[in-house]
Amino acid sequence: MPARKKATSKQGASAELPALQGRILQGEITLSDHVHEAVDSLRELDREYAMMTAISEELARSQAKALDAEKRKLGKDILRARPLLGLCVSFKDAICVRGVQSAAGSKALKGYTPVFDATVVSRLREAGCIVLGKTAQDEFGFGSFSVNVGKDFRIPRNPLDRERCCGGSSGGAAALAAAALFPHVAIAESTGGSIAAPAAFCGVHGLCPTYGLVSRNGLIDYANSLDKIGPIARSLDDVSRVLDVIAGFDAADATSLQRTMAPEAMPKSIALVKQEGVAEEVASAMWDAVKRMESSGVSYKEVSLPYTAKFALAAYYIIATSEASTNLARYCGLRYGFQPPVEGSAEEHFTVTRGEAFGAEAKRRILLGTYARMAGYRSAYYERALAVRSRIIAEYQGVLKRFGALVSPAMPLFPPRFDELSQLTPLQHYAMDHLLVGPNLAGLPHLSIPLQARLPAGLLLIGNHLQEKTLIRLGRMA
Amino acid sequence: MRIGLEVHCGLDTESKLFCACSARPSPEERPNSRCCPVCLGHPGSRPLTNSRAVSHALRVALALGCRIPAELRFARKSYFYPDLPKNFQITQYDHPLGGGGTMETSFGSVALRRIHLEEDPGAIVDRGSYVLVDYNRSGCPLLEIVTEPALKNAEEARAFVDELSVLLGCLGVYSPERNILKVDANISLSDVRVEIKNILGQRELQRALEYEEARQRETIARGEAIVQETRHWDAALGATKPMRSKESEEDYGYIEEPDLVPHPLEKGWLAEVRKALPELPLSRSRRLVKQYRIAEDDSRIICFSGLADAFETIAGSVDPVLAARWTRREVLRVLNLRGERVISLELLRQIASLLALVEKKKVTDAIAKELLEKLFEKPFDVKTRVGAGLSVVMGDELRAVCERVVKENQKAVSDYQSGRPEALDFLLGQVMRATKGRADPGAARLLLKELGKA
Amino acid sequence: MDTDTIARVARLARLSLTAAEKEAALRDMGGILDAFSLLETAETGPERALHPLQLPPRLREDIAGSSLSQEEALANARSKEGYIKAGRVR
Repeated sequence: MPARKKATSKQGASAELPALQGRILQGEITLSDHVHEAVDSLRELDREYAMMTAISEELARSQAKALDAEKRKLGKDILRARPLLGLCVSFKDAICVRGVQSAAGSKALKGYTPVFDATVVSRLREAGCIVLGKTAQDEFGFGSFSVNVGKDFRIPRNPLDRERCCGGSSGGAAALAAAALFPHVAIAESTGGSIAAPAAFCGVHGLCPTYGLVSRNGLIDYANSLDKIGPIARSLDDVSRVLDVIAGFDAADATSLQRTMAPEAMPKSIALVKQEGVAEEVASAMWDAVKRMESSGVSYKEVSLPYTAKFALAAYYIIATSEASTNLARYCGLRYGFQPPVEGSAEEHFTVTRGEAFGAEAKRRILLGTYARMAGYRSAYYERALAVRSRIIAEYQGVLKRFGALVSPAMPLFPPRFDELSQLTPLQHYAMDHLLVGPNLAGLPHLSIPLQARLPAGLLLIGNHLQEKTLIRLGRMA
Repeated sequence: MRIGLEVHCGLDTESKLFCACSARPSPEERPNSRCCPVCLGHPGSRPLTNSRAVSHALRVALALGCRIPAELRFARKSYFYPDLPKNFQITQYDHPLGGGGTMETSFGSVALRRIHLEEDPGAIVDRGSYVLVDYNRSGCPLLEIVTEPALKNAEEARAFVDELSVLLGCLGVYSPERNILKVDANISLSDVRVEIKNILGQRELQRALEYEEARQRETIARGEAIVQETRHWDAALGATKPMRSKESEEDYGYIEEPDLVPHPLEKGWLAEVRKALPELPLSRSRRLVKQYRIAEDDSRIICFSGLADAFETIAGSVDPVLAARWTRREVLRVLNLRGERVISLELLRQIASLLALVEKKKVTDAIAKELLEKLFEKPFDVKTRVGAGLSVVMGDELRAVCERVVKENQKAVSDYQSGRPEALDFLLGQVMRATKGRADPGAARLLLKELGKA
Repeated sequence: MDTDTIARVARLARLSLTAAEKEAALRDMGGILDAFSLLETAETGPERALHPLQLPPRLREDIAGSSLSQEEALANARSKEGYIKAGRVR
């Protein structure tokens, strides 16, 4: 593995937050001092890897100050009210943080400062987390490598190898999770694989929860029936802690689940999804992990999901772009974001604004999604894709009746170099998602675990709805 | 000629359709002061459906005999306009809350196509070279009622909307003082359908349709073809004008609203709503005829104009037939003149008082009509006013006046004797003048005839 | 996928495209849509999945809450006299 600034074992990473909390409670260090150092460190990392779109230093400091005062009052009891005291968190740029620029990586929302916190943000703040800032992403989530950043935004670099991409669309999140030297969890988002892909490429854990488990209130939409917020971190313990805080019913989100996560179970067997087009070294690293699990008592069997393999990619892109093209209609130079001076007709103003505000991939997806919804094409594309989605979900349910989880690589290759990426056509970009679109379409929780290989790669564990705890258990064994 | 209407009525709820902002405008409110991230379309905001808006809509759908679907489903209708915060409107597309249905009116049954729920856009102030947008109204619940092209002329269209407004008021879901009413109409004289959009209020509807009918007739008379197009009604100009064709070629690209979950419309809920429906105008009209023995068409007009409550109150203390006649004619006339719909309890009491006096012949019809109009301007105590010298002149008093008039107008008397009936009218006029209108004209006429005999 | 269709779709989406972007759209969209048209061969049943799993349906009680102040509502906007200014519509 290429050198990292600090080689911390997975166990080491897990110990970081409790150790920090211990030091704070003993009075060895104040949260304000810790945050001061963390922000300095963050700025250095950002200079090197360009993973941030905004650093909320003022907010972080005021939070630290308030929590220090509370700790002076409550002493050790503060951990009961603030179980995640001292944990630094970053948010994918698409997650609204009150008073901090939240632009989903797009020029269309440059300068937009929300007047409300996303529900996940308020829950984490309530639990004692410190908000460090917003992380880089493909514009509105449109990409698998974080190279489709918005106009005037920077492309984040992989901390494990600066010439390679971070994966996407939550590239900045995974990069910071990998590189941060202080206890930190990146809050990211996945529509078609944007938590697992960058987690795999940056050698960290990424959990995408069941659709509806974590509130989408305050998430700038890519595709409403597909978007899910989830944590990326070096430590599985931190992933688990954060999940416990952000999961659960939110009255503000009509699509919020009322059921809770199922208790942890120990599956006897897992299904190995037969895949094509996976790089040899990645496949071999995956097999190593599967063997390790087998030796811990989890048997495996190869299965295929032929319907999903054939149709999931097309169904995903049609549904996602159809929804996205309606979600992005509001960015037209009025009310917030990029607002050029009003000249001429409203129509002209909208058209010119949107032409300037969006990058190439955003335009491509808006055109695709608009087309797929047009009268005459709607039933062949949009309606059809919804019906195909139903069948895909049924295919997964069929396998999950017999197995506790499914397993595959998260991405079919190692993180590409930037020059390699520029050779690909848009369709080839889309095809990179083929291992991830299935579980995302089906709203199934999935976890990417770092594999041991020459370059970063991830093992993808897919569970049935609300089986996050089982996935985490399996992840510890891999 | 065939006319179809799409009526948009604001529903009377406390909060907006998808957010908790107040749906009630306050007088002199500043623009953009009754909004939140949801109705402003801020990225990351989420809609939550107002249950009362749904139950209001169900009330209407059941009252109109619509088919109710198994689930409440919403759709996104995409188009771009400054008053649309998301550049899509959350509405209902292929699962309207009510399918089909029939509206009973004073002029017959009108077939309906559908009714559905949707959110209101904001309001635009047009400054010519630019516009100003106020989102206070954005997100308020609207009920859209679509008729089949079953209306035959502008008066029927106007009456339909008037009576729909009464029905919705009777159902307690709409209040004309608080909620808006907008109409889109389509009208075809030949096979070609012309749409007229965004007509505000019933009076404008009639004007717009009359104008459009005339325009189409003239076009045909000139030998030209009518263009199938969308026009808008310019109230200030008093004319319909073509909209730029691009605007009417919008492809709305409907998808289901993915931020909302389809909500089952259970039989139990529907049964509850149905049970709680008030007496509707048609059944009420029939009951009033039976119960009070009033004329059918008086009853019909009273009920469809929303005056049934007023009538039944008055009929408690006055002969119902008289009450019906007066309600259907005079009371309705004054309400229409004043463009009003509501009668306060105090006013109602005084009207009943007045009609009681008419019934006892203490006041002439003519005076009563005058008094009625005055009551609407500002209610006063009728008994006191009438007591103070407005009572009917009759009996000996009347005879004395008639004798004097005959004596002072000998020329007219001899004209009458020569067989000119208009001379009698002249004499009667003199009697009315002398009594300041308080004479009973019927009695006076008889007396004059008697006194004027040769 | 031809230039007319691209133009129509771009117009529906109020997206101005440079000449290069129009060319790229012509090139890319056609290929992408061809790939996606393979959905035509997919066997489907009557069910359509709007969401990936059963979600509990909910309605909100009709109670008016507080709104943003005018200042907050316009905080991110280019406003004029308390309104949002947009281009002409006639």
